[in-house]
Amino acid sequence: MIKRTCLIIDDNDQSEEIESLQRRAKEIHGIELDCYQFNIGNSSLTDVLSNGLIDKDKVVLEFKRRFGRRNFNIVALDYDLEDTNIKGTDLIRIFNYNQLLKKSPKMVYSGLLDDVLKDIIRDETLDKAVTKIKSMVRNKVIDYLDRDQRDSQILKFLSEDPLSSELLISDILNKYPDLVFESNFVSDNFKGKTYAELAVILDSDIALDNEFKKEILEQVFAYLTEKI
Amino acid sequence: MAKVSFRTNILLKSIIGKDLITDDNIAVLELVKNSFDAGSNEAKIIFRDVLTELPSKIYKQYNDSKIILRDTGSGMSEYDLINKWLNIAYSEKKSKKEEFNRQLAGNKGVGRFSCDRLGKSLIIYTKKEDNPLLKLSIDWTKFEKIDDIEKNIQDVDFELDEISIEKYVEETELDEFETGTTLFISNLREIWDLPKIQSLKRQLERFINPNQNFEAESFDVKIEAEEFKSIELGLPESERINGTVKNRIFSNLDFKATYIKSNISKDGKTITTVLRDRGNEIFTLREYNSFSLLKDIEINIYYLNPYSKAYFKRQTGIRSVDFGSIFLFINGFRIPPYGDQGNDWLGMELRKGQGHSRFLGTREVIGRIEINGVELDDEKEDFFIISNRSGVDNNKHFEQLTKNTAPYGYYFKTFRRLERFVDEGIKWDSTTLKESEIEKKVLDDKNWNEGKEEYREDLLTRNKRVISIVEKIINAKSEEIISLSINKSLITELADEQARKAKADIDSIVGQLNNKALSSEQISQLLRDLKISENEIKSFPGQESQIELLKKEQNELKLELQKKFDETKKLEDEAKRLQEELELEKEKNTYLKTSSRTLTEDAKGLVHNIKITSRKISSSVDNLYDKILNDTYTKNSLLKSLGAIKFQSEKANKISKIITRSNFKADRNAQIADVVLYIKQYIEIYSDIYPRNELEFKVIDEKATLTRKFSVLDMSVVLDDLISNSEKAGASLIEIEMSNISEDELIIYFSDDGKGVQEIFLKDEKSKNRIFELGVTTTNGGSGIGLNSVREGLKSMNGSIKLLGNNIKLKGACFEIIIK
Repeated sequence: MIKRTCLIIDDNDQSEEIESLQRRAKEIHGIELDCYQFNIGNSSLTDVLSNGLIDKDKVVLEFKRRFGRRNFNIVALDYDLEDTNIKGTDLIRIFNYNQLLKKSPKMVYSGLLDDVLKDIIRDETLDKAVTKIKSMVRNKVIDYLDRDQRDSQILKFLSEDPLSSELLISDILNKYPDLVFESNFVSDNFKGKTYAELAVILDSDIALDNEFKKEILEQVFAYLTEKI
Repeated sequence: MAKVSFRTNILLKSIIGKDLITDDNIAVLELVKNSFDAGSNEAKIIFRDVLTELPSKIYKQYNDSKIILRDTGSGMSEYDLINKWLNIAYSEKKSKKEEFNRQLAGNKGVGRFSCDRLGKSLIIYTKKEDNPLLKLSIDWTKFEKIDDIEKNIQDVDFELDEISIEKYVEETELDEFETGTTLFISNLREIWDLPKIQSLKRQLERFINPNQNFEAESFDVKIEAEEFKSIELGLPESERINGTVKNRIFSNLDFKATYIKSNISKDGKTITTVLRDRGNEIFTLREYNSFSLLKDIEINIYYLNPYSKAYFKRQTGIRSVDFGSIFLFINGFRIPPYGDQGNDWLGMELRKGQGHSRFLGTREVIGRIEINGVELDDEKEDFFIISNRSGVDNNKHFEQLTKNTAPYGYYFKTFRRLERFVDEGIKWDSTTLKESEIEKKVLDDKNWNEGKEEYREDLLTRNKRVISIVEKIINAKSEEIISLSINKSLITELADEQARKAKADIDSIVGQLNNKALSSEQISQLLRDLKISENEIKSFPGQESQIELLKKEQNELKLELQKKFDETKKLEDEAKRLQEELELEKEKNTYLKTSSRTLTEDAKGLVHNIKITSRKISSSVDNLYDKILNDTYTKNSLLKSLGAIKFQSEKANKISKIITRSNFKADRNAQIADVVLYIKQYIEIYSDIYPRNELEFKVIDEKATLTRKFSVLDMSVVLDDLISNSEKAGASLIEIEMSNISEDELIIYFSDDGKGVQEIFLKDEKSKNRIFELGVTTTNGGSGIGLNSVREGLKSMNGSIKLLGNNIKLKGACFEIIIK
């Protein structure tokens, strides 16, 4: 069975929905889905709130506490977090800035999808609106959809979309943070680093990320090929 | 060798008499011609004792019938009788072309033998001025002895006597006369019944050229048949035989037919042609005569449209097709059988067969060709009448007149102009009705007039076209033309008519334009109508200032119409657009489109919350269903799922009840608000939300306050459940006491005066905690879900609840709620 991971960031408790999602993933798509939730904006999760409002620093802290630097096969964010200042898309920027969930494909959902863009257009100046919309595009947001379509789209994505290599690598690095590669890397950037350290480097530097991917692949090829 | 000469056997009489003249009518005609040539004003044809019941064979052997032909011409003297009349084939008329100011009709000198044709006996009574009245008796049977080779014509004698006028009157029973000739023909060779005499009369009618272009007095032919007077009383005028024979046809065509008249001048130098149509002269053309052998000829051809044919019948009693077609007159007298019914001497029918839709045939035209000044002289080259009185020799003259292929003879040159006029100009004046229908209408209607005629085409269009194609009709080379005049007054009339029509069109359009409620489609139609009117004016032949004025008026109207059209169209388009938008809106509302463009903020919030709750309910049901299906459920998990479902549905229900509250922000579930204030307000409006309840509330807040983010819906549900429990416990009073433990902590004591919680739940803390578990009910008929929902609801806002016990504040149960 295919194993996949999923994170749902919603101000409402999603336990029932996650249970249903996991069951459907297994029964219909043959996916063993590990699905987590992060109830940012929920009045019960006061750890991320300050005076009832979402505190982005607390969010980052709490995230790291719960999930470390791990990435997920898919992250679904609610656009409306019951907060006047922070929307789901703002969280994406916050995470990105903090090198979190960079490699995770994201989708934003809302009960009133048109309002997502309308709010931006209405509330911001034209330049800011353009910037915001652009950033939404840039931050690996693969889809904007209606709340009703969320679960079905998650499953569709997980079953159809190819797994990104970055995610795979990130997953492993974050899973075993203390392990160390043997010093077989060509590049000095990677020699002697722990998985966790490497994860941080790769998250922050795209060039190195690509180089690492290249090296890994070459090493694997070398390893698997019959010695001449 | 001997000198020999011709001998004239007596049988010669028959050869040049009854055998040569094959037609009784022609025989009579010849005699009439003689009367004419004798200068008589009239020729009377009298029938006596012609009605018989004898069988024909017996009748022909012998009868008492008589035909008397009497004129009051110049008469003959004895000398004339002996040396001229009895001189076979002698015709004085050969040397004379004119006498008594008349061009002489007969010329063959054989007219005398017509008498032989008609009857076996002839008595001539003749008197010349200053001469005695003579009587000559001839028995034609004496010439009919056959096989007598020796008997010559000259061998037969007749009695020539002088008689008195009284004797004449006695013998003939006729009136006295001064001069003239009476031919008393008896023992007739044929039975003259009514139809035969009618036939004679018709021949005589055609015989007489109505256009008698002589200056002398008129010449009448009268028929007198007393025996038939009583018989013919019941007959229409045209079928009666008694009376003056009139050529009613051409002179009495008093309806406005279309006809062409052409004549070659006496000197043969010019041809003048006039085309008339419905009383209007269309054109007069003078051209050089290219027919070298023809002169002093007149041609009249009438085109009979369906109405003309009906008028013809009405006037003459016979159909034009039965009457005949184009007749030939030479020197004033008709040449039979040309033009008789069925006689196609000009080859018109044959020609029509080749182009029936373009060519006229004998059935559509009647007319006459009059050749005058013909030299009835065998020596001279001219039209030559064949001796049996049945036509004209086909010589060069005849050919120049009648040739029906290009280059055309005179007749067809003229005829084709009429033909083109009829075909292209007036389009045959075609009607939608059949000829037989028209004939019936015209004949039956006593008050019929030309105003009732109906044609396919209106007069204006027809006449305009006529004018415009005149030159095409004429089809003459310019060097042949001396002059051409087109009827200016007709053009003016047409222009006036056209102008009137255009003005009427304009007025009509203006009238309609003043109707403000015109649609763009209607205005468009008016523009089209105006265009048609414009085109009619534009294509109008000739320049008329009135037309010019109208053109200007039309142009102005056109501009106005166009402007109005544009305005109306714009308004219509706008209306259409609005209508479409309205439809779209309706459609949206009808089909529940999810676009939130028109939603208010509250409605948006409502949608948002409902979506959330419904999704949760849906997921919970799915999970529950799956557990039951797979038999993986426990009682607890079932209750938990059901509890969640109930909670969510209560929330949804709550939204509908408190949505109208002004400070309830439906657009978000969790709000930053003062919990104390919310609870107070909620309790205040509780009676509005649940009007049937009989509870009394007491709220003590001691200036407590806790501002935090919390779900108002969740709080509402919590309060509802607690109140519901109190109700079920029989409470009538609920007390809610709120105070701050700290700035960030609120404590609420919820108590009632009901019967309290059962003892079993009051044993210890654990027991007290049990009432919040699923499935544990503290009330009669309770579900065991309510207090669990309360606990879960409070949890979501960082709150907690515990049972303190009974009789703490009031006699019933008391709960402690802490919210941080």
